[in-house]
Amino acid sequence: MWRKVSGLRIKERKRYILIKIHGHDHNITREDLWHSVKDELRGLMGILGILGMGFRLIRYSQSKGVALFACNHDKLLEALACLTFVTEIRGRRISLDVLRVSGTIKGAYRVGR
Amino acid sequence: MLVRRSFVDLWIRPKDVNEAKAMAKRGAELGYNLLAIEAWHGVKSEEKEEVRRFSRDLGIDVAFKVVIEASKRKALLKALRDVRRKFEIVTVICKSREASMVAARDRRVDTLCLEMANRLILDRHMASIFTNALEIPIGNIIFSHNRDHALSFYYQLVKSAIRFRLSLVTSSSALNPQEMRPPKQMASIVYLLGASKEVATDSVSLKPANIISTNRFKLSDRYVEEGVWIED
Repeated sequence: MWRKVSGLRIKERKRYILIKIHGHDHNITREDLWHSVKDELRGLMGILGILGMGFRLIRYSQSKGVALFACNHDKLLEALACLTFVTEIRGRRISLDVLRVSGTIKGAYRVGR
Repeated sequence: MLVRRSFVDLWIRPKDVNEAKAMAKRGAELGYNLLAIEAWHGVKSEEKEEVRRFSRDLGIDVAFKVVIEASKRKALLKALRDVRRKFEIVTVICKSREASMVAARDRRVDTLCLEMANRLILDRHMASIFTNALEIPIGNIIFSHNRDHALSFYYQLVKSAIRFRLSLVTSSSALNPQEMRPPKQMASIVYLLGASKEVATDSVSLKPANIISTNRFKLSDRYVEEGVWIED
């Protein structure tokens, strides 16, 4: 996400959060996960709060139950708190365990290897 | 030389030995170094030892905790006399202002929980005598039926605790392995409630670890009384 500051385009620094779904039964789709997380975000931070976070789902592996989220670097702790509040997806009790936080996508996946 | 933080979950509530072992295994996966288990009703010393042994093999330490719910001063003092020197951590859930005023300054109490159902407020008077730590059970927020109310209550509590410079500790109050959360995620919730990053991280690491190490020393044979101990 780019923003303009006095005529210059500045790229927001991102943090990539690798999470694993604990209690995953391989039926949780990308849409299910994103909707659950987005609902928690909206409830906790509000619409204006979400706009400043730059939060989005980058990748998701349904077979492994591993997902990669991105957020702005200065809103990392808020993003972690929102992920902690997710307790169920499609009626199934789960928790989202953060495996690693990194400044790059490649760095975030390093823990999985 | 950098020293790694050791993370502590100061309150997990398994029903029996098997659940305690499952939670210890989950705690080890999440990166905890120490778990404080609320002893279930009728727990035997052999069961405690079995859980300790199992956890040691996983590389995680275990301490046993008792939680006292009290609304009257006399009942609280009697309960404290009965349980002290049997458990490594004593937590009091205060159901009245009378009990909270006693628990806040009693040396036998380690942490205090103020619950929103009891409508207790942390004011200047209570803060002036508060010598123990204030415990924030994250499970009471995450799994609350009225999450907005819970967030509002704990936000005010954390704000008051920071204003009056009280010691804050965080725990999961998990009933099963599914409810346990990683330490940095628990700290992020405390950060969201208004604490600084350092206070939030210390509340899941330094502060609870200090409480347990101090109590273990006091329960050891070397300790005689306050300020007096036997040197090796």
